[in-house]
Amino acid sequence: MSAKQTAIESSNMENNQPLDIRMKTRDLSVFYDDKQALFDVNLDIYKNRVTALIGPSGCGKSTFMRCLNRMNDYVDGCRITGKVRLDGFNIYKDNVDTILLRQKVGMVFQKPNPFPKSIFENVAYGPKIHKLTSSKDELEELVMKSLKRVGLWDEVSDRLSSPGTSLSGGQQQRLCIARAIATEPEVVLMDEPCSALDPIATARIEELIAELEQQYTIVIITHSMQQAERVSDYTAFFHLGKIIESGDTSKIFNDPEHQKTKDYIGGKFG
Amino acid sequence: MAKYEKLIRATLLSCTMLSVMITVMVVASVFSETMRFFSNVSVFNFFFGTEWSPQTAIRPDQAGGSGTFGAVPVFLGTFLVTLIAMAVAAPLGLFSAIYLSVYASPRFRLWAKPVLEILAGVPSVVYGYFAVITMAPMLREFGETIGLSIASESALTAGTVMGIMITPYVMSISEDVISAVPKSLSMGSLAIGATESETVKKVILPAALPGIVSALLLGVSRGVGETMVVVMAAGMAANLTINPLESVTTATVQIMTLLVGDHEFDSDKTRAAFALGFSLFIMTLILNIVALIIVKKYRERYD
Repeated sequence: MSAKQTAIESSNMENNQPLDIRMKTRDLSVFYDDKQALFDVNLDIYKNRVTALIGPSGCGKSTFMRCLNRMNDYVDGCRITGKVRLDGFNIYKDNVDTILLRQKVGMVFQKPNPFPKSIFENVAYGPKIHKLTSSKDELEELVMKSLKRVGLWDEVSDRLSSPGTSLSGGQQQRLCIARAIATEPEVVLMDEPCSALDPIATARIEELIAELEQQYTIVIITHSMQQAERVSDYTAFFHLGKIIESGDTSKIFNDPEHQKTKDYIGGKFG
Repeated sequence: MAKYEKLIRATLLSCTMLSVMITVMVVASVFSETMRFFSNVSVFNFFFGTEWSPQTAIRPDQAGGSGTFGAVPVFLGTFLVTLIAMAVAAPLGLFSAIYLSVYASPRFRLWAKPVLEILAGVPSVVYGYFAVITMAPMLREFGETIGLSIASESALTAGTVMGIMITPYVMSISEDVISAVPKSLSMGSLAIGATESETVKKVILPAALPGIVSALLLGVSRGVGETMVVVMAAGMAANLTINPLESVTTATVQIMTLLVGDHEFDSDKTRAAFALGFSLFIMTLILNIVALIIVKKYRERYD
């Protein structure tokens, strides 16, 4: 059991009350044309906690994640049944403003994807779209705050106008995280955020996730068991479109209930 | 085996050398004729003279014994027709490219793009017919209903039809460059909560801009060099005008009329064609270089 887990459990015991649920899915099924990709997935995502989604490629983790901010809307032939709630509100209701939804549920992608714009403009992109600031000073303040939050400010403060693509891979990914949190979201989705990064940059992002957890609810997809164990509080194991097992990360990793979970974590398949 | 490789290599090399040499010879012959033309006619008169009447009389002592070669009306006509063509082709081509690459379903794109590209294969003489038989009467009638008199051969007719002709090129190249913008960029923008049109305007188009600029410049080059449509629809008279409703002539039309028929290639009249051709060549060369510079500049900034 990691030190972090112990700390969380003890704080839980201190409060001695159940954690707030920020998002939950009920009987969530996803179809691509006629092919079903997710089967009745039920998962609670707790506020200010990191939830890791693990499982072999093609198991539906990414499909599940894209349901949480409705990015599946842009996948042709994708159909969804069941419910996804954000703070108790069903985000698949007909009149939902997906623009507002995506302000509240930000996303970081597998490969760093800074826009072909300056570092400043990359971070300012969301706030400008959602008109979060009313003056140039406020916008600059928000950009600075976001860059500081991801620990990038000291590295780029003297070259905010140079292109975001001129940064190193790890810096680019932190820039993308800064871009995502600049819209002041509640939930941040991360789809294998470290898979394109070297170990040092990966460690840096993992530290960052631990810091961000205080303020945001984080869902992360990862193929690295060590990473899931290091950064997450809760883990859900997906296999062939179903959640086989979910719960406390320490429980999943040390004492899984299902043989499949045990095999996957032990590296026997996947 | 080594011998075979050598043979292949030699064949490929000689083909390359041959095409380079042909290009050099074409440019050289046009250049030397142009130089001979300019030994009789002053460069200043050619580029700044406003009267174009190259048809000389048979005997020098008759009226109009020597032609006047002020090419301004010709270049102005070329410019006007190309401008009208681009006013049609740029929005039509660009917007349909955006629709096809961003909004259209893959199924729709699968058949719509080839259909539009077929338009690029229609011979330009067919577009010429279209201009004369359909577009010119249509524009004239439309002009009458709003009280404008449009000449049957007008810059507007030629430019519009040329624009329709260029549209598939602009569309096809723009569609390629817009589709080449990484999907991850537009997904990133949508995931932040931008709408599709915001994503197009703020992320996709800026990223695709160098390619779009070269698509447009390529369209301009085609317009400048296009002959058949303007021969049939624009007219022969070298009017010095920027009124699109009047008849104008273009460099390509003049080259053609100067060289059609039995001529000896030793008069100022026929050499004037080479001077025009050489000017066109320089113009399109500059356009291509400008396109290259723009593309390079953006590559440096964004890759």
